[in-house]
Amino acid sequence: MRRNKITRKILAGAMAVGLMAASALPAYATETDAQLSTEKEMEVIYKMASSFTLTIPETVTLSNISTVTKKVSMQTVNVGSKEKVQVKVKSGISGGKVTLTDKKDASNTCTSVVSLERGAATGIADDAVVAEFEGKSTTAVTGGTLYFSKVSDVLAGEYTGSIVFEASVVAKE
Amino acid sequence: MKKAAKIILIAAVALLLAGGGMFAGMNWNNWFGKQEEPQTTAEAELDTGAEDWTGERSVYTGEKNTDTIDIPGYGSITLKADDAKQTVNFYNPEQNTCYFRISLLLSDRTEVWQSGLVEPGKGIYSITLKETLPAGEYEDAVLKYECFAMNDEQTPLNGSEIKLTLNVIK
Repeated sequence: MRRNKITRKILAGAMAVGLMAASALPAYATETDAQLSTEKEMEVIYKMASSFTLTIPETVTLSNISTVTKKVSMQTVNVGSKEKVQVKVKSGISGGKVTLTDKKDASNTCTSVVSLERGAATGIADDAVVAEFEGKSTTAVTGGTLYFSKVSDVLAGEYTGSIVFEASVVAKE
Repeated sequence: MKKAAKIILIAAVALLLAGGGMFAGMNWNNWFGKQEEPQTTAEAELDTGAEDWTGERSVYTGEKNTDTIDIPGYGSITLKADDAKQTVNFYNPEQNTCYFRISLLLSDRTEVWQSGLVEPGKGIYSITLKETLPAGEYEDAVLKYECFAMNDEQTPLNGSEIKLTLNVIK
């Protein structure tokens, strides 16, 4: 009898200790679904503008012996996937030829046929695209090399001229 | 009485074992884990080539262009509406060996700004337009680069025009 009493007291004590420990835990009140789920949208934006560095020949020194080759290229380029950089000749080449003028006599000129293929009989059309670049590739997808035919039958003198290249970001077809 | 004492004894032993197990678990890594190399102080020597920092200096950026000209181009630039003073990023790349004269023109070739000669490695960040522009998109505007040799005659060289869009915003 006495043994049972002691046993019961021990068990009661253990349960009391357990209850005290449990009561120390924080209680969480239930919240409504509306309070728990509050969603808001945040827009994340990044904008990268198209840019490039066009490399053109500083001068073109023509030859009376052979064709002169000059490149139009990109040092750097970054345009969108639906765009390309198009390079044309704005001025200095007309009717497929570049015309140079004698520094000492403006009436004295010489010409060279400018083409996109070596040995072409006719030069590039006015407003022709001479090179195109896409994405981040500095390798031209079309063109990129200009061929200046050798000059011939020219009076002695120093002839000069200049070419202006036009570049623009355009949509791909 | 003996049974009660037995129960108490068993409970005490169980508690002891549980406590001992927890203690062993918490210190297991310290007793048997991989020992880290003790950190020693660095014994490197001072770099005698170091000097007082006086700001960034120019560094090698590649060879100079000998017979080509690099022309910066953009798809568009943004300007402030109704304000002559503008912030831009026009420059002559360092690797060039010619002067730039840079102009900004509208699609009808109206010149709204022109620079003086800009040396290689120099840039222009602030410009004053000849006329203010109302807000809007100005397509086929032109950023014109006239290039000149760096000699007494300032011989004209090949040049370039960049066709772009002016985004003029408030």
